[in-house]
Amino acid sequence: MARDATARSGGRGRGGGDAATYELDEIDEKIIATLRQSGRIANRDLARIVDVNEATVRTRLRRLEESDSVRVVAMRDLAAMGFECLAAVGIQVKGRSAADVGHDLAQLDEVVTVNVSIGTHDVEAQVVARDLADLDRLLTHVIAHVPGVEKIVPGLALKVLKYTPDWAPL
Amino acid sequence: MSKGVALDEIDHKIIERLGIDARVSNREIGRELGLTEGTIRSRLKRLFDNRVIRVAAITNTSRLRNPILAYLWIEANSASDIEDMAAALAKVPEIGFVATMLGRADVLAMTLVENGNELTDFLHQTVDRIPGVRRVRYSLGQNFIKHDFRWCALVD
Repeated sequence: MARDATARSGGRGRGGGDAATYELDEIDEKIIATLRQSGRIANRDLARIVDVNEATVRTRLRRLEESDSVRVVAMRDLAAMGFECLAAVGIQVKGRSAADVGHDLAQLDEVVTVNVSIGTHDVEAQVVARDLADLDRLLTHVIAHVPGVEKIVPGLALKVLKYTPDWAPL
Repeated sequence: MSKGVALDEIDHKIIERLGIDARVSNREIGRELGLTEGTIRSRLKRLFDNRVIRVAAITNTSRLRNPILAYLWIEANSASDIEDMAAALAKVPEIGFVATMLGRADVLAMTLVENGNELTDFLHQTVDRIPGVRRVRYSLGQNFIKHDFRWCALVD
């Protein structure tokens, strides 16, 4: 999710992951901010905006990619790809660990996000489906039968006003 | 959202390729798929113009200390507040997802936080001040087991 319009937090959080092996400096931050606006911008134009030479941009981009700090990718619109339904599904687990159930759910293509959660439910998942019949199949006939799933509490997104995940585990 | 655009096998291949790395040049995609650079360029223009895809720079959450996906289940003061409240939530830069809901809440919003204090501050200083917000329940999604970042909704 977009915590910030720029990648400011990237420089601050040297957290535990593999990607955070070096500090992003101001040039990296500018490159990332520009790529957020215009992902397929030519290196030459990127260099002009960030005010460094093209070789520097190339080097920086390679380093950002190789360290898995940032990836520039195409994101697909759910509706345009034929998925009319997006549901947030809370799951209560019994007899198995929430993480194990989460890992099983993660195997399903229609499950786009899975977290072990703190709150009323043990697992929170986001799922997509082509239509209501497809959603019924997924919830009632597939997810309900994953071992350890005791109760499913789904909410269907009526209208998605914003869905721009700019952060992700890479 | 663009529902009426028919996508053929070539479109899907281009989308798949850009889903791995969107910095790849048109010429390179063309070479890989055995098509001309011009074909790729016009295909991509159609995909972008019809809002089938968008290109984004995704930052790795491992750069955050302890990424927590906060699900904010928001109840409106009255049903007539839902529409404007959702629109106002969508304008908050820190919020990456907003939808009106059938079940669980009037509106679901999601944000990424690094700790409880950050969430508390965000709830009190930002979310609670949005007109129409009566009550916010939250669940905290820890340790991402899966997040397919290639999905989004291209809304106006």
